[in-house]
Amino acid sequence: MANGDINTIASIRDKVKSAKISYSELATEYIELAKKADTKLNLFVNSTYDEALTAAKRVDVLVEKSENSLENSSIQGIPTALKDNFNWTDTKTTASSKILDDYISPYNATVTERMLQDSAVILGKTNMDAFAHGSSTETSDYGVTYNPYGENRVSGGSSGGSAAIVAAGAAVYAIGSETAGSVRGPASWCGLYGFAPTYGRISRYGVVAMGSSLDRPGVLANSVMDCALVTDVIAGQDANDATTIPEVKTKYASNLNSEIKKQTLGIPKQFLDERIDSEVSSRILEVVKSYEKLGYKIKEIDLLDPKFSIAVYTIICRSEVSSNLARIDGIRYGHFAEEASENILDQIALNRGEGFGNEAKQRSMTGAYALSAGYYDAYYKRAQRVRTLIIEDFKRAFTEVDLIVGPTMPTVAPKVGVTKNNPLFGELADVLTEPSALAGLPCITVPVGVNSEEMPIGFQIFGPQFAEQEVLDLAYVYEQKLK
Amino acid sequence: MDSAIIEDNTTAKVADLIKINIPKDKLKSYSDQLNTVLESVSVLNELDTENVLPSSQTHGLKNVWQEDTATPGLDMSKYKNTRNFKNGYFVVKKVFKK
Repeated sequence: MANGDINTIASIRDKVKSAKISYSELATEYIELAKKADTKLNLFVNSTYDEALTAAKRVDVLVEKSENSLENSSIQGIPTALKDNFNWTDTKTTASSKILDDYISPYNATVTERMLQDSAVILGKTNMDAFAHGSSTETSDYGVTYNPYGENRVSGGSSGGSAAIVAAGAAVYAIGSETAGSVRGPASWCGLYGFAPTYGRISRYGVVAMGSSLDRPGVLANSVMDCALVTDVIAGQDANDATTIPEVKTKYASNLNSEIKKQTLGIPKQFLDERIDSEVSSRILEVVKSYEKLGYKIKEIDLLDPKFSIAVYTIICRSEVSSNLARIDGIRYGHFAEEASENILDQIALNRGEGFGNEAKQRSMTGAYALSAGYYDAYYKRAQRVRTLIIEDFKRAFTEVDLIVGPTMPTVAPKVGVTKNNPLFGELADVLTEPSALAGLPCITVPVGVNSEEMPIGFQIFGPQFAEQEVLDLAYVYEQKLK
Repeated sequence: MDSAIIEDNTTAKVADLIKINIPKDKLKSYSDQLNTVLESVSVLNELDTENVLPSSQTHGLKNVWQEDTATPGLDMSKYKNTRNFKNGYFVVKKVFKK
């Protein structure tokens, strides 16, 4: 299935030590793996192999200076990949949309900056649904990213390239972002851990915006420890993003523990109903049972039907999309239409008409309609009110249970072609990730095996706001004791 | 669609509002997509929201202040994504029609 060995940060450090190879040699090895996987799966919008080698050489100098191996708690020298919606100075950032085909980042996203400061070896900018609008990478203007697990299967989205590269063993971890389930979904479909902390824990500065009240960067990796460790590097308050949480540096990795806690896990009955594939739900129930055997109390809970979350998410996200994409005019940057227009507004309409794909257009149009005078109360305001109901629903649920668990996605990764003629595919596929996204809750997806077609199934855990450690610890219990 | 929520003329108006050029022969396809989406969100009418306050964010932060100190802006040489940049300005076509 995979091209390279599946590694974690710790296993790579061991490998470097025992094989006595340099980080440059490691980078070269991963570049070869990435090239091979890219040909097969379509991982990147742009590869950044030269930058990766330069960073690796810097790490080798560091190792020489310190006369020692590197700390396990850093990401120094570890081959990784960055979703193509993160700005990185002097490299292309397209968000997989042709309208940004020749856009060169003038600055670093905070996440990029923190990774580079810790000498991350970034192999490339990974493919995604254009502007993150989708759950399959099929809306990318650069083609679909295939799933390493199954012939002609989608990798999921929108962080599909980030998931596929880690699943193919061509990067140790990758950075993604989610608005509904764009980290958890592809991680689940590619058999990975995918972690998205509380909204505001990781800065959105320099990430091409989709829905600003929902967007959050996240990590896709092969272990819970790596999710924790990478998050510790990139998380934290940022003066450039006023919505970041003002707290001291996180220590998820050093605090990670797999001791069995006296906790009640809630399983929403709406997450296991007829909308969920039966093989997926029976595997999820087995996992829940295994937690029960360890001593966790399991409680079925009743949440608002996720169909309301789909609708709220659709309106709020698309409204924010229409506002965020308004900045792309083809004048200051972005595609400039050749067809001449005498007037700047007509020129902008031409630039945007040619540059945006169908998905960005229809999402912007729905959003603009929902925000327009006369319809604002009926659509946008009503969705905001129901968002309050969803947030309160979770608050009530968390008075009964400590954490909520369930399937991450309603099915395993579908075949390519799934989005055709379905203007709501993205929102519908994310039915189980939208509720927690709307409430900004910390979540993780855990790979819990495969179905009869050998396609991975993901188990998600989410908790109250700021309960990242609890969420990670419960995932760690699975990884250490139940896998 | 039996009772479309929006017709092509509304689709055209929305497209004009957000400055996206949609050719006339493509309008219907967008109207169809928009109607599918708008119909799907009508489930929200099933809930009573009369006394519920709207939420625009989740973590309750308010009045986030920043130190009032000047910091350098983006280096002008970084504006390399535009076709026409002169003396620190973006050169554009005229704004008003004749």
